[in-house]
Amino acid sequence: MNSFFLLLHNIARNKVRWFLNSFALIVAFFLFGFLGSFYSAFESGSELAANDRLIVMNKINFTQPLPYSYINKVDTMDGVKQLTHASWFGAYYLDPTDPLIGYAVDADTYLSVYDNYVLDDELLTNWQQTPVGMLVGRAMAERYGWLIGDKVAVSSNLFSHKSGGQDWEVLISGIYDGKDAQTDTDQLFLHYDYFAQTRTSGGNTIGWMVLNTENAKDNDAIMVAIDDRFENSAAETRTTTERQFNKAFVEQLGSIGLIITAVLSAVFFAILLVVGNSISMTVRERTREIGVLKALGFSRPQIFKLVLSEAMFLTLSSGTIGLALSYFALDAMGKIPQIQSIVPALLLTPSTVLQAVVYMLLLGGITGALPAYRAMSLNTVDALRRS
Amino acid sequence: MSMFIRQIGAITLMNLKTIPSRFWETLVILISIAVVIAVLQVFLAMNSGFSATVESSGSEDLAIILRNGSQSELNSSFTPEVVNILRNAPGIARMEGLPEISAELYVIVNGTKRAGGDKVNLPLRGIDLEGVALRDNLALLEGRMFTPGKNEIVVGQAAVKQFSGLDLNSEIKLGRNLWKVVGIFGGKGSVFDSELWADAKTVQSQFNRAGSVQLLRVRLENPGAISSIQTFIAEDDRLNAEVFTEAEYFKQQASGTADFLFYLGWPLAIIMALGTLAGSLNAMYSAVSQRAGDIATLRAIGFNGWAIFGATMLESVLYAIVGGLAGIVIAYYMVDGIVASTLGGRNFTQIVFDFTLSPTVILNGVGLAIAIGVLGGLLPALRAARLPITKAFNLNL
Amino acid sequence: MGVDKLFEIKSLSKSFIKGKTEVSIFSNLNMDINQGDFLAIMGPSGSGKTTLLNLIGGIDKPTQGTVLYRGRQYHDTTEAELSAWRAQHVGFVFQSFNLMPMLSAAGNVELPLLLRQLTRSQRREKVMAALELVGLVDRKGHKPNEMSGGQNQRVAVARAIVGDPDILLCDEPTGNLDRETATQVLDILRLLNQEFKKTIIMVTHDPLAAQYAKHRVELDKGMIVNKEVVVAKDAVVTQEATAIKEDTAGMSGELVAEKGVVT
Repeated sequence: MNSFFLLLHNIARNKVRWFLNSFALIVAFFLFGFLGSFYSAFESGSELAANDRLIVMNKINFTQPLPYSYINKVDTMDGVKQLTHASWFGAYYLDPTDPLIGYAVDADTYLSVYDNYVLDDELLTNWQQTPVGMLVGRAMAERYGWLIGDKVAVSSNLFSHKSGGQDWEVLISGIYDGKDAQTDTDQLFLHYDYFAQTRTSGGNTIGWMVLNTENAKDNDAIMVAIDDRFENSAAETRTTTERQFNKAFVEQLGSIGLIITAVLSAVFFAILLVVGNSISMTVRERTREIGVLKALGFSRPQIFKLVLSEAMFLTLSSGTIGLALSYFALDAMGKIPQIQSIVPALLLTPSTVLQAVVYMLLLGGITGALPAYRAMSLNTVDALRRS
Repeated sequence: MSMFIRQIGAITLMNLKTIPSRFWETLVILISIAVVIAVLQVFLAMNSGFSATVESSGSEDLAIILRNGSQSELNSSFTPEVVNILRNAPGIARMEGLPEISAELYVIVNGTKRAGGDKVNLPLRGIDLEGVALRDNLALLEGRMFTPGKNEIVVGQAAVKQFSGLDLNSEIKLGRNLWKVVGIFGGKGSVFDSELWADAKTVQSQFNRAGSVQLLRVRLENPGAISSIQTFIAEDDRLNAEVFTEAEYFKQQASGTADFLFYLGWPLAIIMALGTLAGSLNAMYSAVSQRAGDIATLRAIGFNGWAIFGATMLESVLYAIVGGLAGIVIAYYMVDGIVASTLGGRNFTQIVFDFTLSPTVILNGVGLAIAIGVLGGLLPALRAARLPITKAFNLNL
Repeated sequence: MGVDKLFEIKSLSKSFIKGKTEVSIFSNLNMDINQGDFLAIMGPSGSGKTTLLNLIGGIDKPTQGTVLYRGRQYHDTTEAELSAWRAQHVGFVFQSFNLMPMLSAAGNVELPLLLRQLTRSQRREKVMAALELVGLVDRKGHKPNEMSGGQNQRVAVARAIVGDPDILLCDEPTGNLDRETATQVLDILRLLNQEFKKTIIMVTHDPLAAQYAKHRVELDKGMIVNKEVVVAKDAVVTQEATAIKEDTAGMSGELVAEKGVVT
């Protein structure tokens, strides 16, 4: 008979308690996996943004346009490798209360700056050569059942079409995939030229510019140079890295990170109490039995190990189940369009799993150590006498 | 019946007297329930504070006219011609023959949070003095109203507190020019408290809006008059607009964020409650097995099994209520009245609101606590009621 | 007849399932218990003494056969009715006292009265009377852990009689007591039997306790192996007693009450 057998025997003896403790831990690690991944997906926009990608927008606010003429002025500046631009379209499809992420972009340059959108060359050329062509992400195409060659009308909540109304007739000419699971494929892209020529307002303006630099080391200097170039002009600019911009935007919601951290801490604190208390109750009930083990010749370290390994086994097995459940829940939730539009690419990330394992070990250690110590220090004679 | 209640009372009293011998276990239940309820309270307080702010903003007497499909003041826009047509719509209240109408602009400008220094979007509303007069629940608290034609702004009281650089008489750069803060106004807890207001014509020229406006606010002749405006819009091909009462508009604006908080808070609290439930069950089971002898003795004496059940349930529910109330108190001291701001509605601008532990929020907390108590007590109480009475004779074994 | 049969035990069998085998505690047991008796049930561990007491007290159900109380079957009713019956007619005294540790002596004695329609002052009066009977009025505010074992058992006796039941069921009442305090408790039981006409059924293997009984029944392996009338130690008892007629069938015993006088 080895210690592991003893351990299983102990589990089998109080199944209800084991089940309840396990359940509490499953809940804790389910929430950890779920909220942790939710948070990292939320932030992933900013984390994925290539470090050397810079975004140039109107200094007043990113909702204010920039003159079209700025494109050439910035493109020719030293250190700028590739430049493209985009304008917020304010898209929706049929239902105005369900806004979509949609941009009017320069088809010739956009995908060379955003290289995480995967599209084969033939389709890319097809889209680039179709003036009314629209490029959509896989997720959005599947949601609406769009196929290449479909003619659809997407609407804008921001602009009006010259021929009246808010609808733009487009031809779906490309569907892109993400280079990795965290790339947002719930977006649509129109040709800027088509958009600019048919809108009633906005004239010769663009939303913002995005550029890659020759050398990331020069980023700071280039950002300053661009903003200096347009100082005191009709439209002053603010240039930041895309990462900074996205982060700032997310942070406008409030401290999402703080809230999630606070909730997780509260959960862990409560579960720690519940499980720790329960394990120490178990040890108390087993006082007599531990006395017998000691009388039989089990050493103090062996007793310590026995109790600690039970706590460890409990947290590791339950934690794994909880994480697995969060994986499935995230997978299911990630398929809901409304969720996708807030947090694209919801999935259990390896870093979350790694953190969770560390916390399992910590939780098992903390909840097991004190009762294990108490069991180890029991006086054999007293333990046997107590009933 | 009264006998039954007396039995429950006597047993419950005895059970509660054992708390000192089970002090830590009991404390653990109380704390874990308190944590769960506190988390729920925080989310619901955010939801309730946010909804109260946004929904209180809308008046039934005013209507908002937006360009069709725009969904928010920010996205809408009207040319001067369209505005002129709309001026003559029936159903708009008139004063001395002139329609009570306010053509407004809604521009996003950059601001900085006082706490943390995060860059945020602030709403700058271009408005004329007639527009100011339309809002009945608005009062100038300090300073004076802006002078038309000048780079002057008045600032909502919540915005002054939450964002830096907006103090009275200070100057702030919005767009390309400096603006002087000449007044601070209060909007009775509405979203307007989060806004910056300036003269519409000045905003038009400084933000290149060339005569266009974004929305119209009008006073309705009577609450039913909105349908006459709708008919008017439908019958004129030149008009591509939709109209809502202000109350309806703000309700729509609030729903997204408020729902998000509600649907985030409740499932979280319920999942956490399930975790806590395991703790409660554990502790109650242990209490019942510890008292098995006492329970059997009482049953032998003639106490009713259902009285034992009732008393065990009552005990569990009492713990839950005490824990829940502690959670509510913790949440109250942590967040009640704390001012926060978030991106609200579809305007992509900050709305400042208070965390509010309203009676409904508190009731929800107590309700969840009682549910935890009932569910956590049910199985142990059944076990207690069904314990073999013969156990009373074997206490020594 | 003249003597009221309080309990009639008829072909009583009790067994339980342990693992896969059915273990019989006793089978086809027959016995009558008269009103006013002080019966000691004796026998080694596992002989079924306590099970018999449980069956009489209505906290366990027979596998077969019946127990009649004043000619009435009472095991077939609901738990709640059995509880009510116990509350009305039976007082229990346990080997380990089974006092509620968190209640004072008076609080413990008061417990059965909570099951009656009594006012607070009526309850108080009865509690004091019961405590007076066992000589512990001055300890009324003490908790069980502040009193000796003998005092605790006297409190338990007071609790058993405070509701004025007809029957006292005692399970090894002296098992946890030394001789001196055991004597005190047994004296009180005798007093209750003689002066207050309580029927007492006592499971014991304490010879001293058995001496206090009017009759003894010895159980072994579920059978009545010996029955005798006790001549009470240092007390002169003149009253109806029970004669015993052995059932020669051997497997089952029959305790039949007959009128007789013991001096």
